[in-house]
Amino acid sequence: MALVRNDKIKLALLLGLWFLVFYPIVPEMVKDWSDHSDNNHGFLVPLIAIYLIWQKKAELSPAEIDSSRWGAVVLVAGLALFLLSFAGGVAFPARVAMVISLFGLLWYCTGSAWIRLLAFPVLFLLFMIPVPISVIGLVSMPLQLMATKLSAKIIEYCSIPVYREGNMLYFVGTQLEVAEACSGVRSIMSLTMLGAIFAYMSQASWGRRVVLVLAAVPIAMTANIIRITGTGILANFFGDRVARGFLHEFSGIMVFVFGLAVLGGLYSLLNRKKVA
Amino acid sequence: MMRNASFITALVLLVLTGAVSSLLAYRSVPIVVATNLEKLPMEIDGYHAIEDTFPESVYKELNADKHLYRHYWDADGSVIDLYIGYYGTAKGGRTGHNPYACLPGAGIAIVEAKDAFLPAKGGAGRVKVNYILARNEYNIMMLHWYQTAGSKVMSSGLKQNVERFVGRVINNRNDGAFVRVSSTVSDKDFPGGKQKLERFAAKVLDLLPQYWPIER
Repeated sequence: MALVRNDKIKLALLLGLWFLVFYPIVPEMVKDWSDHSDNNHGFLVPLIAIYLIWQKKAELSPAEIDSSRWGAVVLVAGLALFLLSFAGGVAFPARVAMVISLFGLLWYCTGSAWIRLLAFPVLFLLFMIPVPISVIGLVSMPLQLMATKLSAKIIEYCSIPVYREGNMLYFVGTQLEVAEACSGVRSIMSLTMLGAIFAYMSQASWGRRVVLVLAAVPIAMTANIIRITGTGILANFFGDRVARGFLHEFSGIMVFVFGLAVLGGLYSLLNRKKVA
Repeated sequence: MMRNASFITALVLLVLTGAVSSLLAYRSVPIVVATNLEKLPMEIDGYHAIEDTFPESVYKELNADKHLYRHYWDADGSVIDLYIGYYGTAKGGRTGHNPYACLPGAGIAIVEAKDAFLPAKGGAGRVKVNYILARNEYNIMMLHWYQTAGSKVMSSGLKQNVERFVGRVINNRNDGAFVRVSSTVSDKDFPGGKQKLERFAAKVLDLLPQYWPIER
């Protein structure tokens, strides 16, 4: 049977309680979103998830409400993981548990027909969880180094003398540090998130959808290398002020737009081939 | 229509979780009341120390509760550097930085990285730590490890995470330290240099639990 008024009250009560239970870990997560530019997209994720659920309203209304034992298992596992993580003082698994619990709660109380429609919007909330600093530390440094090395090679191909030492690029009249913020991690995370939305909207096969999400990583890395190379070339001619001022910020936006355009192009391509 | 049994079960599970997490939230987070590490002997294994510091920007990035950075000299003029970064429970117990990422980032190439084994305290077995040979204009030989709960030594950050998690759940304490012992060595004396470094690191390993910071 579909959702009746009484069910709406019960669902609202359960969701309110779910939020209250997990509230102790929310302020710190929001602080992480605002404190670190890598996590700024976290503010958008819940809004996008709500919008995606809203979009499913017409399909949800007539869908049969049922109960699922597997949902109960997921709910219990999520809550247990939360308590363990909370006791152990580890934020990342506690945040993952928050999303898993919501998924389990909805699955358990509304059944399989509902969760099929809600699975993506609910699991999309995983994108709001900041990647642990220890993982960022492991990933960003090699990415930073690789981006610097490749950029130095490209700059050399442009007949501009450049010497690289670690993440420093030395030009004749100036030098440029490829900072951690330039590792490309931020672009990878935001473009992967967008790749997931594209994949969700796509009518293509599952394989092509996975390709769409995975493609976000090389696209973001390429865009980042183009940005560092461009900044390096400009710094060589106009000094290191280009690496700090408006142009640097603007190039960041342009590179994101470039990544988004390539991802959008790939989305169109994969969908077009499906139709053909 | 939503089943009453599902609704009530979910309600009870959420209320129980909320109650337990509220109780857990009442546990205070211990803070460092005595750093102690600065009392680590200035004389170890015939080496005499002079204190040093990193630039403020480095300390800001590392964000530890206590840093110890010393150069230990022996009579022959050879130097062993000791760095300890201690992170109390309130700071999460471990550094986010590690030499495998930071050395290449600073333009220092890692030539060799493998396990090394130091004698455990009281000669009871051996303890696995990490050995790195790196090179910029000099050869830099390095032993490093993570230490938790005073005496527990781990070679990987992942093992330290597990140890810290267990420590926090059981003892409400998960402080830890990153310990690095390093020296520059000539091309001709790698085995001798490594032996010296291992002997010195073993002494540090022996001493550190006695000078472990106090948290309350």
